[in-house]
Amino acid sequence: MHSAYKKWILNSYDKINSDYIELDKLDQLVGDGDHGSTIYKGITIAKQLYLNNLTSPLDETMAIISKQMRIEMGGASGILMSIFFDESGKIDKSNLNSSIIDIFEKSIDKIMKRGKVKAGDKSILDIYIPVLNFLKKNSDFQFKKNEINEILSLSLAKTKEMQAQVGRAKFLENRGLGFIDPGAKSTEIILREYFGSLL
Amino acid sequence: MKKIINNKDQIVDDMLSGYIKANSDRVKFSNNSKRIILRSHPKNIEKTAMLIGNGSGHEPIAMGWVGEGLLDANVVGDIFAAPSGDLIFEGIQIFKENSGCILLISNHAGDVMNGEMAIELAKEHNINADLLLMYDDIASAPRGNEDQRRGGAGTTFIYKILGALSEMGEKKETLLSLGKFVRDQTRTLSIAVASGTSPISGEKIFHLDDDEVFIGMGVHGESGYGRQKISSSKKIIKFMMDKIFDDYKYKEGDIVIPFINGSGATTLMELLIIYNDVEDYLAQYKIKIFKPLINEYITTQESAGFSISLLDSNEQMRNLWISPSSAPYFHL
Repeated sequence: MHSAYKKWILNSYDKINSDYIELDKLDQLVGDGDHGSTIYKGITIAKQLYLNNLTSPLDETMAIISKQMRIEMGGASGILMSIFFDESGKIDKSNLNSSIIDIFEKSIDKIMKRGKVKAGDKSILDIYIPVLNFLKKNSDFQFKKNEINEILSLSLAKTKEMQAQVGRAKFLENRGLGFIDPGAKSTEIILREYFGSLL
Repeated sequence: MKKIINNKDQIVDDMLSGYIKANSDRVKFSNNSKRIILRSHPKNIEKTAMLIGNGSGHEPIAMGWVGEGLLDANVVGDIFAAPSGDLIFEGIQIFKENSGCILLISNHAGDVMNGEMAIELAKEHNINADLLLMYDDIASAPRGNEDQRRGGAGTTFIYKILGALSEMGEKKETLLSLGKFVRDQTRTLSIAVASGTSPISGEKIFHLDDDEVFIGMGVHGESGYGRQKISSSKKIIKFMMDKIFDDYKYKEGDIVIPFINGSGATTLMELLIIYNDVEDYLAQYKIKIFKPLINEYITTQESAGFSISLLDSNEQMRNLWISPSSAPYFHL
């Protein structure tokens, strides 16, 4: 799985490198205006560490990446975004489909517990949960890349009409209504690249 | 952005380096991390250690309050971002031999998540550490939902009072219980007058028109009671104090400790005018004052604005409030 994961991390880096200023601008509407810079910092570390740990077992590499992302990014983004990177290392080539579903289930469970967040709160979960539901419905994995991309785009667009129930956006005058959630946007990028590299 | 810095990525490290150099008689870095500030003269290990993890960009809090009689350590995050649970845990580990350890966390999402993770790690390693969640900002959640409120400037009462009591060797359980009592007796309300600039994005953190103020805004520009046209100090203070008095039932003879905190670009002249009006308001209700704290302590860059925090105190709290501290930036 190393080659697919390498592609995932490098492509995510490239995409975030070109989009992080836009992400900062989006975050200026609902937060401190630094979400893009924070994610860029995280994915830069992920790229460096991945290239330094190409020969280690995948779960070890991803655990190292996850921990360092959490440390360097800090805040709510670091601790929540790093969960998927850690879980993703548990992918099982011999049991691919169910292991991917398991990665999403465990990530969602951990994000819910750590972030005290639920579906519809306008958070990264509003990307993960629709993806998991889609994967469960299509557990034979006979779907095309564009189908999962459509789920990602749709889920992201839906965060626009949600009122934030968590994080700083919860305290905004309009709770971020009318704007997509910056965390959901960066998650959408990372998952789009994940499936793009895996499928 | 008009700020005197060197490299955007080095702001926090450069600042901490300067701080330690300037106060080397009282504070130092931990051996393993230049993001953990410790007292130069640590407490006896028989005493409970007091730590806080918080994002930077709000100086002098909390690094400025590390010192004898106040905090034992500050774990410093990036600008406006909580330090990771891993780093906070590293801070806690320094005190693993102490009889106990209290991690103070101001109620903001990232701080809470990382603080809780650090405490879980401490428990896994059999370290006697507990988290004390601090909240006081009445604009962020209604009465009855106090535990949903943000941590504001009133958390200062907890730092100082518990810091002083822990220095006397009081056990952890008693400290936690007093900390919760102080929290329950504290109310804070803030007002924003003009936005500061985020050193990361280079942009204003929020927008206010020249003739507008925002009552109840949080330290990161979060909203509260809403926008109003700017008016006199007396009118603004009456509005804010009425809100505080709606939230907490003060009675004649109560002795409160006021803390008037500037947000970064509010002049001492203004803060003293504000204090004058706060004291006059309290006097109408025959509420007494004890040793107020007035200055810019919990800031958000060059934001203009202030907060009023009131602690309805008892004698123990008052004695601990005025007990000596060597923290470089706590001056009563």
